[in-house]
Order: sequence, then C-alpha cells, then structure tokens
Amino acid sequence: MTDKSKKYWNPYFGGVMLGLLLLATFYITGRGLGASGAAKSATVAIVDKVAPAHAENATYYSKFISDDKNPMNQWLVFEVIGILAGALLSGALSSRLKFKVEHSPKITSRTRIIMAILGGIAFGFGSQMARGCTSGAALTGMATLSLAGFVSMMAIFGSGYVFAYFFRKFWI
Amino acid sequence: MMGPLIPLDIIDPAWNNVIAIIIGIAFGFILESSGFSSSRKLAGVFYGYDFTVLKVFFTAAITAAIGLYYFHFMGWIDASLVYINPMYVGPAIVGGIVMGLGFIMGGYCPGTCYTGVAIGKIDAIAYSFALMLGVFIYAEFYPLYEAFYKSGFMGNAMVFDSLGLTPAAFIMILIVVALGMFVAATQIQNKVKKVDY
Amino acid sequence: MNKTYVVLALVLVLLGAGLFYFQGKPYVMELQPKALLNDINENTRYVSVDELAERIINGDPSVQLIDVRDPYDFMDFALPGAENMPLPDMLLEEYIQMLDAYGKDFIFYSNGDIQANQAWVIAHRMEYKNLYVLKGGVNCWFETIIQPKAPVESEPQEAIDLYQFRLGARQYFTGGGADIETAAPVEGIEFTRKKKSSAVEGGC
Repeated sequence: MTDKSKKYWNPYFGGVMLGLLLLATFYITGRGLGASGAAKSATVAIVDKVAPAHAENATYYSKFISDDKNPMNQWLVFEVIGILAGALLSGALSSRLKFKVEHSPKITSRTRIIMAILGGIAFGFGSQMARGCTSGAALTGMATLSLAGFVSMMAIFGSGYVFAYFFRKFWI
Repeated sequence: MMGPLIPLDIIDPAWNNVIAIIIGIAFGFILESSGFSSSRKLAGVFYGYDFTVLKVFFTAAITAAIGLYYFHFMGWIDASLVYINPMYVGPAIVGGIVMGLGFIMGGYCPGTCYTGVAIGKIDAIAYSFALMLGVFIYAEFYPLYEAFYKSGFMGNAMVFDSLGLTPAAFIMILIVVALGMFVAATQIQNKVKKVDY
Repeated sequence: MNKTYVVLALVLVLLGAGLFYFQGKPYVMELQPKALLNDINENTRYVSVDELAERIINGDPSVQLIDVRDPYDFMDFALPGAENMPLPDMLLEEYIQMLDAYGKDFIFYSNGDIQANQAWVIAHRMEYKNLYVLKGGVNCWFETIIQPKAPVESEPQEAIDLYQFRLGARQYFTGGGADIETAAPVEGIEFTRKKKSSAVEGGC
C-alpha cells in the first residue's frame, strides 16, 4: 500500500514549536490555548436558537447568554476556526487530506464511529465538569505551573491508562 | 515591550479575535504536522506503540513554562496578568477521569479532533458533534451536580506551593522526570509490537 | 540521532538550572506590602456620593457598582446597577470574575465603607485594575443625596450649588419628594468632573 503522505514532524520538535506558540499566546493575549470552550459555545448557541426560553431558564446556559453578544463571539471559537484552517493547510502540504474512517483492522468502520461518538459525549461532559480539556486545562495549566493543570493532566492520562485495558480490543 | 500585550492595552483588544484565528492556525498546523490528526497515533500512548502524545505534551509544557519564567524575570511579561486556571479539586479530578474515558473510547480530545476534521477524518467529525452532545447533556442535568461543580475551590493554587518547592526547583524536577519518561518511552516503543496506521 | 538528543537534553537541563539564578523572587507578582500600604494611604481610590450620583445621572457606562454586603441587604436595597459580591465569598470564581470586565470602573460599596475598603485591599493586592471605594457607603448616600442638608445663608456659593445638585439627584433617584419651598430647578449648573488624583471633598 503506497503511502504518499509526508512524514510527521519529530515529536520533540513539535513539542518545542507548540511550547513556543503557547508562550507567544501568553505574551500577546495573557491567556493560553484551548478547545473545549468552542464546543460549549456552539452548544449554547444552538440551544439558544432552538429553544431560547429554555436556555434562559437553565442555569448552565443562561450564564453565557447576553442580549448584545452572540454566544459564538468567543476567543476560543475564533481560535478553533484557526485550528481547522491550520490543520487543513498542514494536511494539504503533506498530502494527508482524505475522507476516511481511521480504525484498527480488528474492528469495523461502524464500530469506530460508534466509539468516537461515545467518546465524544464522555469527553464533552467531562470537559465541562473539569472546566477545560487537555489543551486548556492540562497543557496551558501545566505551562503556568498551576495545580489545576497538573491535577487535570494526571486525572486524564491516569484514567486513560486504567481504562485502556478494557478497550484494548478497539485499538490493538 | 512588556507583555501581555492585550491586557496591557498595547494592542487594541478589538484585535483579540483576529489574533485568536492566527494563533489557532499555528496551533492546528503544529498539531497536524505532529500527527495529532490520527486517532490511532494518539491512542498509542496508552498502549505503548506510539508515545508522540507524551513527548509533544511534556516538551511543550516545559518549553512554555521555562519561557514564561524567563520572560517574567527579564521583565518582558507581567506574569500576574496571565490567566491561571483556578483549582476546583473534586470537579477537576472527576471531570478528568471522565475525559480519560472519553479519550480512550474516542481517540481524540477537542483540539486534536478539529485537526482530524480538517483533514477529512470521518470519525473525528462524528467525535466533534458528540462533544456538543456531551456538553448538552452536562448542561441539562447541571442542577444535579451544581454544588459539586462549585466545590473544592482552592483559588489559583500553584503546583510548586503544594509540594513546598520553589518554582525553579519544581521545573528542574519536571525536566528530569520528563527526560526519564522520554528515555523509557523510546525503550518501550522499541519493544512493543509495531502497529501500522 | 542519539548524540543530538543528548545535547538537547543537556541544553534543557542548563536552561532549567539557569532558573535558580532568579530564585527568591516571587513567581506570581502580587502587589508588595510596601506598595500596597502606599496606595492605601494615598486615598485616591475614593469616589464621593456626589460624584457617583453625577455619573449615574449622566449615564456613564463605565460605572460598575459592587455591593460587598450580604445578599439579604443587597436584596433589600441596592444602588442603581449594582452587582452583589458578598465580602466573605469574594474570591469565588463566580464573584471575582466580575472584576475582569473590560472598560469598567469598579466601585465597591457597603453600608459604611469599612467592608468596601476591605474588598478593595484584597482585589488591589491581586492586581485587579480600576478599583474604587464609595466614601461613606450607603449611609452617606442616604444622608447626602436622599436627605441633603440645606446650607445656611453664610456658606459660599459652591455649597449652595452642591445642595441644588443633590436635590436634583434625589429627584432623579427617588422620583419625587421634592421640597416645595426650595423648588428651584436644577438646570444651568456646571458639572465639572473632579480630577481622579485629587482627594475627595464633602463627607459624612
């Protein structure tokens, strides 16, 4: 099977690049990177559009809805738009653009999609509870030497390792 | 010029969203180029066949932490204006555990899933919608755990304080631990059965 | 490949070691006690009830009143546009994040001004910006704006003007109750914004 895609970066190089980007982000904006907040904003915006009365009454949504500001007008939403563009560019340059379901040969595409959905639901839920995801809480948190960052990182990866055994059939 | 530039009004905050896009582009490019658009590559850290996640994650955190520290003491940035994640003990741990489950099932986290979406991974696209569903479920049942969500507040607790270390000492220990992990990771990866993806 | 990594690892360790040079300086800059004491003594944080009334009447959008009393007092009576940040809970995320709002002057107030000052010290130490204290608090508000004392005839014109202003302000805030004898209209009076660096006059 010919693989036209170019090789990935050396991970340490990628890490330094990412660290420098994070540093630049701190320097320019005073905040770090993130991603789950965009999913939250999108959800709030959708609920507000579809059922505005419910959104106003439910405690969790109402905090993020105000009369003069679109819930999608958030720093993280714009950042995620950038992520899509940047990844597209990288993928294009490296010939990695292709519609496909990436899955272990031991499971079917369908299984993979189902697991992706289940995983997404869980992660979406968890990211709200923990006030962040691996980018925002763990990575950025670690870079600022906050306790929250390290605890988040250990909780996420620790539990990942514990659960890995039970899901090994899906990956290896 | 002393940073952070926007909180100090050196750059007009109206540029904030534009800058967000630019930073996002760089973020997405770096992640994708490092291979984070592949769920099987990401999951490798849990099964020993690919430790890219570990290497990138810790290298990035250490680079940024050291950089921030140097910038602060050279007077290039006022670190007190940099956002520090607040610590809520219970929610951070419980949320983290649930996220770990989501990671091992879904093979992505939000940032990496968007890079997967950008290059056409259908499982990433499914994951991205499922994220919103997860947020929705959280919001709908919020009153059940609202008290828990607000519990365990420890302010801007710093990790070195909790361990009774100075920042420099902590970073040094972190560097040594990370280097040790990298060496171990390379050894493990060589011994584990290769996976093609 | 291996040699490169060893070199890079050494560079990293060296960078980390360099940090010890900066040992002893606090990592997160908080306002140092000396600077904090200086700011406390300078008294530039005070806003008088007159100035507050003027700004509210003029529709100044930058005013954000922060009521640091307990929620029951807040529900009983609050100044226009005030938000509640009970002093014992002020460090909770849901309250402290109020001070992140862009383009606002945050004016702490309480019944007197002791609690408002306490909140100001905490927030100022954490390097939040644009923080002020309403001198005299709610009590002074009532004594000055709602029930202004009429000046005696021997007092200078400024005192009389001030009194007229306060009557007008009372009218604005309570919508009625103007005295019949002193029904002079509150027009044509020059409102000059007091310079922020000057000490506040007129107190309770």
